[in-house]
Amino acid sequence: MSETAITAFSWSEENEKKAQYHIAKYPEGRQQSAVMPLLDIAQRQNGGHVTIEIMEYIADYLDMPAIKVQEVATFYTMYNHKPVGKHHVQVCGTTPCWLRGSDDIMSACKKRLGISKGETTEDGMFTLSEVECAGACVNAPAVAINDDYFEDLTPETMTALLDKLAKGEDVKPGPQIDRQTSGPAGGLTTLKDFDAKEAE
Amino acid sequence: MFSFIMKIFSSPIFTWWNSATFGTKLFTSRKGVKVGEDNQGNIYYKEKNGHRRWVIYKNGPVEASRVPAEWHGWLHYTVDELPSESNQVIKDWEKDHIPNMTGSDAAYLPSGSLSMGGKRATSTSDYEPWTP
Amino acid sequence: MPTLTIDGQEVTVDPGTTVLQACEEVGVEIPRFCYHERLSIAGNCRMCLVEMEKAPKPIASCAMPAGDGMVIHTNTERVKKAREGVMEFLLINHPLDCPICDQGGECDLQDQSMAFGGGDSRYDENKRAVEDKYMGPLISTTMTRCIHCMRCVRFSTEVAGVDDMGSLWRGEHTEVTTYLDGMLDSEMSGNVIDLCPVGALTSKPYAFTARSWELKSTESIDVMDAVGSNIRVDARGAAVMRILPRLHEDVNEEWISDKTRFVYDGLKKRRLDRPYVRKGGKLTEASWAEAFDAIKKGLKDVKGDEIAGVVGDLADMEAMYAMKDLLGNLGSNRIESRQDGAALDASVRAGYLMNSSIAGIEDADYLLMIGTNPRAEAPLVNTRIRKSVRHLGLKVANIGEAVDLTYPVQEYGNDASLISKITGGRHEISKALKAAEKPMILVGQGALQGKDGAAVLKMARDIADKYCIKDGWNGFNVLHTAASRVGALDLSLVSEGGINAITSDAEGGKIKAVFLLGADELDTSCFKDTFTVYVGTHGDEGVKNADVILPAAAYTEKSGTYISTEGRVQMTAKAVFAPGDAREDWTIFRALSDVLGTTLLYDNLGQLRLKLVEAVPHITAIDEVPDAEWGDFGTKGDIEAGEITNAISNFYLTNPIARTSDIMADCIEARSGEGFEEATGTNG
Repeated sequence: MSETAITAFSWSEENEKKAQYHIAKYPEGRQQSAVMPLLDIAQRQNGGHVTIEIMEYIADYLDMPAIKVQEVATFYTMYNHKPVGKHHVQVCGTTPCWLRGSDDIMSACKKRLGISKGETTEDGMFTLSEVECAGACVNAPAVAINDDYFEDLTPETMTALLDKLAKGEDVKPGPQIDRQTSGPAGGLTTLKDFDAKEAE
Repeated sequence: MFSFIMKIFSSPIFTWWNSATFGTKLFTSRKGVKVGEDNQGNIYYKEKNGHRRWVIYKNGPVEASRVPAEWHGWLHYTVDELPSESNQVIKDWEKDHIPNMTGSDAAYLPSGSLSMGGKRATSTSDYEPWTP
Repeated sequence: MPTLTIDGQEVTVDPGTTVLQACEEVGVEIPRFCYHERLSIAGNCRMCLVEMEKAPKPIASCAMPAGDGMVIHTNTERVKKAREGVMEFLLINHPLDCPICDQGGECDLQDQSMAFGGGDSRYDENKRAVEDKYMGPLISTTMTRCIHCMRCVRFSTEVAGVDDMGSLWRGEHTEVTTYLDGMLDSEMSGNVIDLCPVGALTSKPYAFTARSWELKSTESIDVMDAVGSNIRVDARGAAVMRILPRLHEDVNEEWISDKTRFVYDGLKKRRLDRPYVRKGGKLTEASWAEAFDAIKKGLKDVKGDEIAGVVGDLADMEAMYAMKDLLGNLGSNRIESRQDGAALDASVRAGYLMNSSIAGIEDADYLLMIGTNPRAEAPLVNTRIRKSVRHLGLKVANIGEAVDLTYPVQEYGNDASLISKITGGRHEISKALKAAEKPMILVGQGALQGKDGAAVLKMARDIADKYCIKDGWNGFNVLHTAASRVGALDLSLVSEGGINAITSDAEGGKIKAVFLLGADELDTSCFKDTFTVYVGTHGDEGVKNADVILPAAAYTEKSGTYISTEGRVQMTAKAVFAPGDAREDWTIFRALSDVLGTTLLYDNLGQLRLKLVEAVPHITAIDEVPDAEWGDFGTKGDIEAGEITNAISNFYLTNPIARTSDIMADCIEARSGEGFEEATGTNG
């Protein structure tokens, strides 16, 4: 079927290089192993979602059946099949985040953006979705916006974050409270005297 | 001689299927009380003491299906009221009673029957013959 | 050789055997849905759980290789509970619509839930529903019933060789579908209906026409191609309701092609059900006696050598023998079976057989195809080649039309003259043939049909003689397209000059009368002025210029002997009666012989078969492939450069039954792409 498809999509010069980089990781004849990074690159190039044309293009590019590409693209939730906004707000709703108040984060987002789960704002700026464990349980509740994680959120900081994004201002990824990466909240509690330089 | 014997044996003394037997007629005249008549002319009786109920068919075979629905209930002790006494309303969509016509010319035949023209619904066993 | 204990019985199995197979060897039946011996192992239904000692939890026996010293229990309380649990999960989203499901009565899920299920459900939430998919005119889908065993997906990629099916989404949202709701682009697609353990994929033409327990099954043989697939004809009353495959490891394994499976509706249309006689240029209905009288009159002034006969592709041995006998009595031995003009040589049996046999493809390591498209000519041979290519390392080379055969093929171009270069020994193919241990040559009818056909046959013979004849191995193979052909050649139904001589003699007036036995694959306009008797089943090409038409029985309506392309003798059985006044073919010739005053010397099928055995002794070896002696055949000659045209241009239209079938017409429409608009859902 791939030969009948009209493929409007093709790699940009830069992405072609990236694609070749990923294909080169695998032995000759095993180029289809690169299907996942290629889908991701294509999704980025296409502005956040993949289409049937893209899947067929990649299938042709990797010389594999289009249905197999479609299987991969539909299996993994991080490939979007509908257009998403400029900022894809992915609220984690799995147990640790939920216990730490992810429901409040979600309702703050709904209130601020005026949309419900799985929808995109009319101006195309935000898409809101709930995702399974983002793997940032230690700093729960966590929200992933595009490639950045925002952690230790409260409804207030979440709303402020969305305001900033809406205005196009820079935001600081990571914990939104006084915490260094996933260290203890409010600074170190043990090994306070430890000096890294001295240890060297 | 043979025909004489046949005549005796086909007389109402022995046969019960052409009309009521002598025994029944005798019993009817001794103990029967006429209670009514249906629209076909069959006459219904009951015993004086009320225990037994029976019917003497008007001309023709003794055939249970000749009893119309309204008398059937009384005859079989389903109800005690006679059809003439009950206030049963006969709806205009109710058809007249027809006895079982099996074996006669008026017997029911489905539309697929050969005597009805043999037009039946198509079935999976049918095939389309080729014609020049 | 691992030895393991199953329910107290010790069994030694081959390495690589799974626990499930080992259980089967000792006669312990393990319930399963996803496991299928001819497909790869998936292990996703979990129905085959058994208990293994020293394992913390039940193991999926289909995916566990048997190991030495394993102790397996299949009848413990734990196994029972595990099965009940799996069954309960499977039934959570399975609708309870068995009464309106075509699979009802022959459903794995139904049977196994009776045998291993818990008895009732504890589930009172909503069940999931899935939109039905479009899979072409043959497969009806009710995807809500799907239990995601993925047998259909594995079949299409592994056996059929078309990457059209897959499963989208994940978890509870999983949906099995064809790519963009297209149809399965394969000649073998109907087999997914048999594979589906539930009623998700059922037969579209058969839908809601019968229940499985109403049907009377007759074990028979298929005649749509020359493979001789083993089939089961299911009939209700006088109608064939469906055709299913029967297991035969050496022929069709357990698959059949779509044409075999779905051609049955052609048995009910355009049937010849009464004799016809041409009166004043118009065919008019006649009784058998009138028809025979007309033949007697028509043959009155015709000399024996002015009579010819042509045998069609679906004729059984009995009919051909009776016809040969009758024409012999009339003084003619000019009967031709090679309707397509293929230059086959009837003198050496090995010269027209598939000597390596179909199962032998699995032993071969190099295959040279000459002018054949097995995918259209014999889909099951193609499936066997694909199996061998995929699993056993067979290499395939092709001279002829390059078509997609579902496996990699080394194309050497479509030029007949290439064949003459191979014997030289310096060509790439000759080197490969020489290097191979068990090389095969597969000659298609297309290669033999051209004007150099006899020379091609000779050349192919010489190549085979040089490279492919070894101790216990004959690599010369002819792939026939007609079920009757090998039988006809065994009866020497060939004539000088072939079919072309007959047609030109008929036009030239040298032939005054011709008998056609189901011969529909040739242009009969040349018989316009010839007295033509057509004996056959369908109003097709053959009746166009016939003067007398005698209605005969189709392959499901008679017991007939057929010899497949590999020389296997098999018999069809009578599943239903022939329609109307139609009679079994041989009885027609027998009755006609009385009228013509040359009575044939047999009154029943048994007597006829005794005569047949005298003529063709190897016919007694039912279901065997007798070795044919190698010899010299073909005619030496130059092969002109030129393209080879394959014998079959349309898989779905190769015989009168298939041409009559509406289902076949639907398939053509759908596969040509015109039916795609019927597709539901997104087109991308």
